[in-house]
Amino acid sequence: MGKGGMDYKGQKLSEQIYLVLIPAVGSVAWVFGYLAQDFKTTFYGWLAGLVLAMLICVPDWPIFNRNPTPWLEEIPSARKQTVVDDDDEDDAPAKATKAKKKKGGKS
Amino acid sequence: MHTYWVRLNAVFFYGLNVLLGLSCCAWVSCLQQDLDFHSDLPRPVVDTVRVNELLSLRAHGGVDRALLSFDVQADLTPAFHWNLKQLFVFVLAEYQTPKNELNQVILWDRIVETEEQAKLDERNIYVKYALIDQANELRNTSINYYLVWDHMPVTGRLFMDKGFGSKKILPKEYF
Repeated sequence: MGKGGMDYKGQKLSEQIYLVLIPAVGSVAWVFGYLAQDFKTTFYGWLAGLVLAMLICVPDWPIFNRNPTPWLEEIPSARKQTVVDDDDEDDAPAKATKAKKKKGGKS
Repeated sequence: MHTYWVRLNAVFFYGLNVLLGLSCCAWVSCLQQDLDFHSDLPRPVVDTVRVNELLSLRAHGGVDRALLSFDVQADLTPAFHWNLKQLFVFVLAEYQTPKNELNQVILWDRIVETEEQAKLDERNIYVKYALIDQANELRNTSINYYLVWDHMPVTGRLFMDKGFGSKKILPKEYF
């Protein structure tokens, strides 16, 4: 489930679809309404286009997830380093020097 | 565009903007008929608006009041088009008195929702609202009777149109 996150290209595609679909269906409905001289025809046509756009663009369809954002590949050496260089050796002296510098600045 | 709700919001309100655009186009498409410029389109016709029978003319607490029945014949179907929701039609009495330069009193009204109802043919109908003066100056006053119709569109401005019916002078004495 989740919040229905699409990938970036999927989001763009979804937006482009409704930006075109609603006015296209609406325009056709307007012409039919004009010919029938009945604005209700235009309204219901527009409503149909809106519902269709909602059905297509709102749910997280698989077509909007064809370009998943790739994760960076694991760098094995980097992981080893972090394991080896755990807080004890590198960080502790660094903190110590910082602390010393601060103290030195005050005095 | 990254969650259902953002997309639902975007689609719905974009859709409403499109509907606004369509409505404005519909308004524009009817402008020629509404404004009657360079057009040979038929216009609404008012045949008759006249007093059939004056029932009474009395003073009630210092204010004159006339009751009457009247005839109305008019064809307002040309006012209809696809951007018109309804017409508010009323009979208007207009007159001048020493107190007021212009008095306008609505005697009768009707909401016309379809073209079929827009052909008015009413005979000897009684006023809905009495012809009541602001003071007591109705006697021997010449009154113009009009039929007025207010266009209530789906989209666009409200505007009125009116047709002159008849002119009649009220009696000199109460009865």
